[in-house]
Amino acid sequence: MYLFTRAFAYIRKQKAKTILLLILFVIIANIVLAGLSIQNATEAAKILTRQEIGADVVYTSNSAKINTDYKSGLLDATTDKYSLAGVPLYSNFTKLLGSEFIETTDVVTSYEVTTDVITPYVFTATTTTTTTTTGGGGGSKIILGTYENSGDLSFRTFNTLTPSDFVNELSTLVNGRFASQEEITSGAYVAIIETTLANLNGIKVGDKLSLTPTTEGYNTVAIEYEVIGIYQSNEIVDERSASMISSSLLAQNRIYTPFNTFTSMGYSQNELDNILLDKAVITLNDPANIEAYMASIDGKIDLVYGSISANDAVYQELAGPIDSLGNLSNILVIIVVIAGASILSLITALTINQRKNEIGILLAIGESKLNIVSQFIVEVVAIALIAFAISTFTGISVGKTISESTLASFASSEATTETVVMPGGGGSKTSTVTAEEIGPVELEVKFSALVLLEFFAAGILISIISVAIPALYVTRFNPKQILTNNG
Amino acid sequence: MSILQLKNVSYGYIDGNRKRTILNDLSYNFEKGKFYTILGPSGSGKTTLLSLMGALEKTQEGSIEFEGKRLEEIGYTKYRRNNQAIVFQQFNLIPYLTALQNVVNVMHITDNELPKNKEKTALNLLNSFGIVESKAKRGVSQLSGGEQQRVAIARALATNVSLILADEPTGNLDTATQKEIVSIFRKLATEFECCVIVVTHSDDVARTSDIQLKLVEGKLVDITGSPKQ
Repeated sequence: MYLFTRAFAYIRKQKAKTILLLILFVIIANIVLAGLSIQNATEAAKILTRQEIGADVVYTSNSAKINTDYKSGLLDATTDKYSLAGVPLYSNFTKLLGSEFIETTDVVTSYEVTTDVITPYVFTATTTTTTTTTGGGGGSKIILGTYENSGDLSFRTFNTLTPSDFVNELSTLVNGRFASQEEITSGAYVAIIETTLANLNGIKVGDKLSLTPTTEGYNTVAIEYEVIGIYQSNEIVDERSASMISSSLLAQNRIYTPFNTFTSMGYSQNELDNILLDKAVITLNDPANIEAYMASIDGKIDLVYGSISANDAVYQELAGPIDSLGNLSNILVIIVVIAGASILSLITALTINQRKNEIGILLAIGESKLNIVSQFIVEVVAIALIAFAISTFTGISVGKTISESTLASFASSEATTETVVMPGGGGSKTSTVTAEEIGPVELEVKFSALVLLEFFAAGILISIISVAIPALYVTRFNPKQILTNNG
Repeated sequence: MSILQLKNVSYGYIDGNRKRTILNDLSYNFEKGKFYTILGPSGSGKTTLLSLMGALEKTQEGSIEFEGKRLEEIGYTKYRRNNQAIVFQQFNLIPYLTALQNVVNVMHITDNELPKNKEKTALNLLNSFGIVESKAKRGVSQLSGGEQQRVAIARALATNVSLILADEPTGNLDTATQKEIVSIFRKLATEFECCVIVVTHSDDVARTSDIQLKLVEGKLVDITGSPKQ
């Protein structure tokens, strides 16, 4: 295969052409690699964003819709809140289960208890404070804005090892433990109380509290709860709101207990099905499955007054610039590949035209057309490989620079969203994450082996085609024609 | 012994509205071990005839046979690769290769059996034509015209072919080098049993050949021994 010797001799001899071609390849390869790396990075960033946002799907009442219809007269104080289509009744929640994507679920509802042995925390307004902490509970009674105070303290339920309020850092366990799986499943009368209430009453982990639930339809009987943990509420609510709500709904007076305590209290399945939840949190096994899960539950509940959210708005806000950058890089790659292939074809066509005499000589001494074309291909591919190798390193920097500047310009033009924490509002916090919490999207610009392999393969294929077409065009002539015209 | 046989070869081209015939029903047998020269005025078709014999292009009518086989049968590329070699007036060496590489190149292209150490064989061959090793390893553009033509002849011989075609091989050379090159051709015919066919304008070159042919009205006429050529 002397064609390799010929090819490398040509490359060495024609230094100017070799360098020109090398520079061209490096420029094209850098831009293409930058584009490909950005595409690669945008995909990774979208996955990361999804993971940052989390894999929670939250089912709540659609407070905005309810309030609007209430104000417009479509709903009134006599409306049975349980009959509203799509509200998060336990029976509706169960329709969302049974998916392979679900890892855990948390069922949050609230009810009040009365007590003779515990002194509830009472909010005292001050003249200077602007904020204070209050409860986020309140349950179904708040939804229609017709709160009826019926207790001293409130219970908020959970049925997962770490209740979603603790996952979302609305509350932090400071002493004791969470309920065990067995306690959750069996509906054990265990309680996690707020540190202010604990301090006020000298309650410690392990103490027993006698409390009487005031849930609708339930015979009021005192139940003994074991304190297994003490938490601190992190909710921030303004003083005005705190002073307007019942003290039983203040965060300081909130006690966490397993949802299955309803069963322990003697609730029938029908009664359970009719419990109106503050919210149900469905945690999926992978954030990437959110879209698939949302598609799988589509239409299962007529969500007139309900809402199922997967933080899509936040995701879309963050993913928007990433998508735009991905599309931009896609267009960039296509343009550069077409322009690069055209320029390369033109250069090789001109070069091969200058080498007609050499082709004629090679044909005259019996060299096959295939070997002649192969020699030209080897020459270009050798230069291309060197250029691609250089570009593998430089392309990352180019890609990082382009993506950072582009993302920055996109980010500055984007709006932001806010999360509202309503005091005592049952499940009003539908979005557990905000764009600000996630922060600016970082693109990790790098190449996977597969991307590099694809790039190398595509680059070499384009090089081969760019050379082969003009070379085959010339070699179709007989040697005399070529030598006569170039003699 | 016949090596190359031209049978009723005709060749022409369209010049404006009329067909101009260059070779007209030309037949001739070339034999091994003989040195032929083909003479003729410019435009008489000498180079065209050589191109046809070298399979640089195809005949329009008639056929050419090498050792009894038609060129089409052998295959034009194979024939060029294994059965003949052409020495051009312009040398036609690959410009970016050294003299040695030019010779080794054809040794890699041919299918003929050659010594395994091609580089050494090529170097010896170049040495026998007065190209020493230091010159053999230079780019061909650094050699004189005479040296380049010697490299071209070495290239022609490197593949062990028995038919050497040459198109005005001494056209660009001084008289001393011209004589040297002609003596090489003679030697190839007498000592190596090659059939050497040289197209030339030079009567001096023609006089050194065994058989002098002239292209007259598209046919080869043997003018060997004729007093005035």
